[in-house]
Amino acid sequence: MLMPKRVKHRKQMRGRMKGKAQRGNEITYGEYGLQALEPAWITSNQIEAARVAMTRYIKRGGKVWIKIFPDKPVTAKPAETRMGSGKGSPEYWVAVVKPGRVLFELAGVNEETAKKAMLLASHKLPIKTRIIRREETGGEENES
Amino acid sequence: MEQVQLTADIRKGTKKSDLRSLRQAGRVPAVFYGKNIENRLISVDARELNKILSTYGSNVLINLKIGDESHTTMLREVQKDFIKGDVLHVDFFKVSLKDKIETTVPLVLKGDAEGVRKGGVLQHQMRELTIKALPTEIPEHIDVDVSELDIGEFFTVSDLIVPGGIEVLNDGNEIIATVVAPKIEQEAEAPEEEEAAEPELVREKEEKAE
Repeated sequence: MLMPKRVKHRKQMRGRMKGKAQRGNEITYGEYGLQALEPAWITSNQIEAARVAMTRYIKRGGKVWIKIFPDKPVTAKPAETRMGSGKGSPEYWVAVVKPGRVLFELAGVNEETAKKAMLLASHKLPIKTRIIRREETGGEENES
Repeated sequence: MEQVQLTADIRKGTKKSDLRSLRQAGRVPAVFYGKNIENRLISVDARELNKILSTYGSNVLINLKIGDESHTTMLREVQKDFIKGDVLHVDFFKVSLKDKIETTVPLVLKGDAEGVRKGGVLQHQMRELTIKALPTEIPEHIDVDVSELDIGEFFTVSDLIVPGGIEVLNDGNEIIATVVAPKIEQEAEAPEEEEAAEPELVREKEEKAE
């Protein structure tokens, strides 16, 4: 399961998920991508389940990129504990995802396989997603 | 390179509300600029612009008609809403047909690679080539023939055959495409114990070092 090797602080505040993803909103490596349409905390288990679903479907051939990393610890208090006595202990790790973020990328497979694999992966995630295809670019960063 | 016509109107409002109402009216706010001319705020028809972008991509010469004037321009930047896909704003850059300009051209892989037939995975690493050429000589895309690429082999910029009059600005050793051996996914039999462990704190490591 994905988690950081070293951290500066054991516990974090929850934060907000306002707005859209300002970075990581384009396909950078592969041909197809799975884009988030809602904000959410995606846990490391969900990322792993989606990855396994995709790689099992495409079997051999093709390459999968995971574009998000769960670097935020989520704490929880044990069951049947009275309130107070400080913040709970870290339980799991999440990636903070905002709408527009590309979660996974895929290359080396045909469109039909890619769409099916991404659909299977999307069923493992707690948010609405959509499958996007790389657009042919060019001339966008022109300099004379 | 293809040449297309596009009509633009001068726009006055620069506020967010002005731009929003412009977009709701089916227009795209844009800016027109170039060497030795003053910047002008304009707007173009969204449907016409989308048609040009979907047919020719961003590498196209546009004869922009602003009032009575006509200018040869290229698209320098296209801002898009990455969720809805709408074009939010475009930059039109005036070009001289006599001066060479620096631009990027998409690289399109052609043919079935030898290595892919053997089970390898074709990786397209560089998708755009930076070139210097006259605006009329800029191709829409450059084809890369990868049919002879075997597993472990790669296609570099120096292997590329580009049309005459085009100067490639990328380094010759940069890899465009490669065929890698397939990576077979190993199923983990037992869950790893270290998963439950917490990551170490940066502070603790520093203290240990001291």
